[in-house]
Amino acid sequence: MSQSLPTIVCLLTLNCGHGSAVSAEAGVVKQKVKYVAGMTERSQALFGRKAATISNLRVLTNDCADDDWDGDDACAIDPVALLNAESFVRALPNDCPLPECAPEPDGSISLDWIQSSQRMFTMSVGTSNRLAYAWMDGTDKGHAVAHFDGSSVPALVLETIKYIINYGNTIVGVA
Amino acid sequence: MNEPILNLKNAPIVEAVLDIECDLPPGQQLSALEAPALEVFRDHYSKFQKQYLFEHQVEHQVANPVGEPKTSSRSDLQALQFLTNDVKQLVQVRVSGFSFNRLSPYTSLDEYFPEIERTWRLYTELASPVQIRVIRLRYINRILLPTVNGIVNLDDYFEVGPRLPDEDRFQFAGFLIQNVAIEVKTGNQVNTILTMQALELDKLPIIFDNTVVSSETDDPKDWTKIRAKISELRELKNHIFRRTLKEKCLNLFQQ
Repeated sequence: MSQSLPTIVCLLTLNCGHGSAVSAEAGVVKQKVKYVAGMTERSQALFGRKAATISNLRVLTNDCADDDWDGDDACAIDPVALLNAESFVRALPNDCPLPECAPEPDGSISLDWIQSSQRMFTMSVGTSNRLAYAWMDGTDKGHAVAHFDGSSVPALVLETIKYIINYGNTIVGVA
Repeated sequence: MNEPILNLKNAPIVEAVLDIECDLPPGQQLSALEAPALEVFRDHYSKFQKQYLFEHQVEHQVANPVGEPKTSSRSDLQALQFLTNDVKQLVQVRVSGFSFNRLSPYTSLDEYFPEIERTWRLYTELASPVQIRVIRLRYINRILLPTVNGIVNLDDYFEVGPRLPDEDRFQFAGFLIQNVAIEVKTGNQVNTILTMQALELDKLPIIFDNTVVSSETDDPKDWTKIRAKISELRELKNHIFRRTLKEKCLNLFQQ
């Protein structure tokens, strides 16, 4: 039986600045905070589940790194979409169920919370800070676009995920 | 009642940043704003640079470990930065909004308000923001503490300082304290970071990063309201500054 061997991809991302601040001291702060965040992410107990999801996202990006990955002219997954999807996963509360991920033909990444075939929440993460999402709960459906600042999950998005996945005791109404 | 504004002879501010995060028209490309932005900002900001998110990808085939790895690079434009000739002040047109940065020497926000208003109005004409999402005021301070034989008691200078489990047995080689809080009355967010750098001669540099954030949505055209919001944030960050530093530390800035 033949088996394709994996390709190891190393992504090096350099943000050539320090957020919107430009001073050397802003760089020092960023470096130190990043170090602490990096230490947290190396802990299996603190970050293990999210690390696995982020790893899945990277494998997915690697698998769909070339155009036409679906044989039907799909675009390669954009590395910026990967970074945005990683940021979104990092921003999820620790007790929130984590999504499954899938590639989209336009180069975006789909994050999906599937409770059943009739109850699901799906979000498209692309290169911009706008997140298109849709949900289905039996015959009820909805869709919207939310702004993501890169560090906190928009409240309405989180409430809707909670509602669809039945986690917590949240009751929400979504227009 | 607002506290009186501190008048410090040598304020430790190394950078002040005002960020206004916006909802921009869907599909708007930052690169398309470059030419018109150059046109409107270059009279006061003679230097121009772009900030990129740079990504380098290295692929290594497991099947062929000694083979040449395949590499590729790409970059995404994050900001158009317009700087004054002395590089002490800049205006940024970013993918998610507008920034005004003032580096040392810093005088007073009152002095910068007219220029902030002018450049913000230019920005709104240029980028047509639909809504303001966040207003963020960030002050990065660098405080040089005098030491004796390389030692300083941080409790003399900070109300909220770092602690060690055994002060007799250990001395700090480094620390990073981050506090994130919400002001109960307004819902404004506070994010402070206190950290140290390596000793410089007989001085210990401490960085105090003081950020306050309002996440109320606003109309980009309503400058009066935006200014009021910035002033509210300013009062908040001044309050935090006073409550973080002790009198002995404040006195350092009067010399």
